[in-house]
Amino acid sequence: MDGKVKLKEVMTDGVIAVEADSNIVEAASKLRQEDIRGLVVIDDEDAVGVVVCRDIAYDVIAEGEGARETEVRDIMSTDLIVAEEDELLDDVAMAMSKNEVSRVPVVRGDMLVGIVTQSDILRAWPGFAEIMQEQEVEE
Amino acid sequence: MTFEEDVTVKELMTEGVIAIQQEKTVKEAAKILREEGIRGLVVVDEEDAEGVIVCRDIVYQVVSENNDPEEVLVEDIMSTDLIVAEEDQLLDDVAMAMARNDISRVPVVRDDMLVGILTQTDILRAWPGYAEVMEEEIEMEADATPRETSTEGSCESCENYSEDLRETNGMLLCEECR
Repeated sequence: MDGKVKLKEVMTDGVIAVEADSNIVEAASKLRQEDIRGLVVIDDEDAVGVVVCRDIAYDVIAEGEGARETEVRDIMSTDLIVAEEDELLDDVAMAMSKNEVSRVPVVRGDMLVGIVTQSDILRAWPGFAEIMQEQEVEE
Repeated sequence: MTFEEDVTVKELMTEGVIAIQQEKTVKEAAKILREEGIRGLVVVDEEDAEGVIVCRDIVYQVVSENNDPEEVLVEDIMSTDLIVAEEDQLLDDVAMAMARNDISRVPVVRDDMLVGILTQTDILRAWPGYAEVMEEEIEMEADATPRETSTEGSCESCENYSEDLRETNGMLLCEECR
């Protein structure tokens, strides 16, 4: 890796979102269907927060709240760290680990275009691509 | 590329393991997760690690079905296909295994004993350049005491004792390894 990898090369294109007034059972079903750990929360068209599996475990299950009676907006995080798609992966990886966030929405101007997760970044780990290529050759 | 290739798991793992008995309820597991501010627990039966439970398991298997977290037990939803890392394994290898299997945390063992946990967050702390940035921040805060030109101790590469360790590329290295 030459340190010049841009975010858009490793991010997942497209954003899976949930409406802020959905309930937690709906959000959980979507997380499972899509097999992901977090959703971008939208109100009309605007991104207003993020909800991850951890929020549901901490704020709903641990508290003994009813999942059907709780709305996504009640537990989402609103201190949104957002990355530009042209940012360097190195910088974003560092910002994520400093702020202990595991997923960051990616924007192009004002538009949400994707999401980058810790898993995406680890896939760009120095040497990882080479090893995957070797495996493909063996197969 | 500035990443030190011989970093081992134990240098980055979180020592100690926060565990839960397999017959506890999912609600109890969620409470421990919240109290500890973590995303996953090692599941034990008596002393032995039997599995792992993460927030995602709770959401996928309990919340999405609207099941009662006070009725469902940890053992009902834990993952048992445990990938475990040895504390002496190279970080590179473990990071790749984690990325390939799409898992976010692995228990770390020393022989048979659980000694810690390694998460994706821990690994990102070893991201190329991150250590340097952190060092710069520390240096800015540090007193302006000149560093000794040589010290004694264990070489950070070959681990042999040396009385002539010098800092090279951010590591204290003996004459042979410099």
